[in-house]
Amino acid sequence: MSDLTYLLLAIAAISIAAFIPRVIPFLLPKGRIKSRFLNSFLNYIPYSVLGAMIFPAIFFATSSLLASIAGTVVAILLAFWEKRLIIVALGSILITAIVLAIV
Amino acid sequence: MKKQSDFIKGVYNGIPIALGYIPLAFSFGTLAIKGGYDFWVPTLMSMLSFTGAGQMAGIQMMVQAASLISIFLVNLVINARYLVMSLSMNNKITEKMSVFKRIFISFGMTDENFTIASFYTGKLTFPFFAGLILTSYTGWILGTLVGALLMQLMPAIIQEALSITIYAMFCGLLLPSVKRSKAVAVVTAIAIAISCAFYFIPFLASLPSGINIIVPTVVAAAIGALVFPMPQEEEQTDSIKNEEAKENE
Repeated sequence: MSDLTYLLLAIAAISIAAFIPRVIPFLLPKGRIKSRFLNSFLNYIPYSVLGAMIFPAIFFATSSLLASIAGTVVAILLAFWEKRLIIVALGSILITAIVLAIV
Repeated sequence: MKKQSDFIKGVYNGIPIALGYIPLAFSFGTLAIKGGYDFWVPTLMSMLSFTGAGQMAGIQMMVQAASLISIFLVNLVINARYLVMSLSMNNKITEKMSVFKRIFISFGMTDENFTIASFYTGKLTFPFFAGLILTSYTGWILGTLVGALLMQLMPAIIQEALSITIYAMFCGLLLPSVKRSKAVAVVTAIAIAISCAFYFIPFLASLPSGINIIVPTVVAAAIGALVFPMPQEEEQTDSIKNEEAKENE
């Protein structure tokens, strides 16, 4: 498979996987999921997937473990204080850049 | 102002979402460039997908040359929550609409558009959705394009520091919900523990890329559903989504 073929197929896979869960409920006859387990499961998915995507990958986001940990601590603190997303991101980037420049 | 059309009301409601999308899309664009792709790659992805976390995870897996099937499955798992949102939104729309219009709305069912539409007090008409979705979609694509084009001009240290952006934003989305709900905190902790196991235990780390996200996600959510089943209420999904989307307003 050429790089371009892989690239286009990957983009197609991502787009189709984004579209399927959204479109199916709109094409079904009106009604709700009855299973309490399934509802709860789907509700917890965003949290579990975010947790799994953040850790431990965040520690290896930059070439310096120290800089990544500094950025992580700042992101967690700002997020815990419920600052806006953009503030959480900028604060974390700033500290990471500062530590990268020092070490 | 009283006689605003539903389309204009949709646009008006979509402007803050578009503004909120710009930094997110910007970081997606920069992430793709860092991964070695030309600017058109993230832009095309944003045009076709319109899904933040899925695109981010997708481009990272593409950089690692993950298999197409694992890219597809990871994205299905990441986007599984849209099933619930679309079900809820489909129930809220009382107006009769053609299949084409329904498909258009489903394409625009992001966390933020869903939240805004759910709490909109007016009638949910197709022109309202058209205004809302087209406005936020424009912010998403322009943000991606500008991020990708500006990336090449940035100093090396800033480029590297930007690698932390996506994770910082994920923290910003996740932590407020973790603070408020013990169940969410437990589910997240289980997912993190399993995810770390997949990274640090050599046998697990050798499995194909993507498994390390799917397994912790599904196992932790299943444990959560068994131990902390949600009350069976109409507003359940809305209130939880709202907690997240608030951050972007």
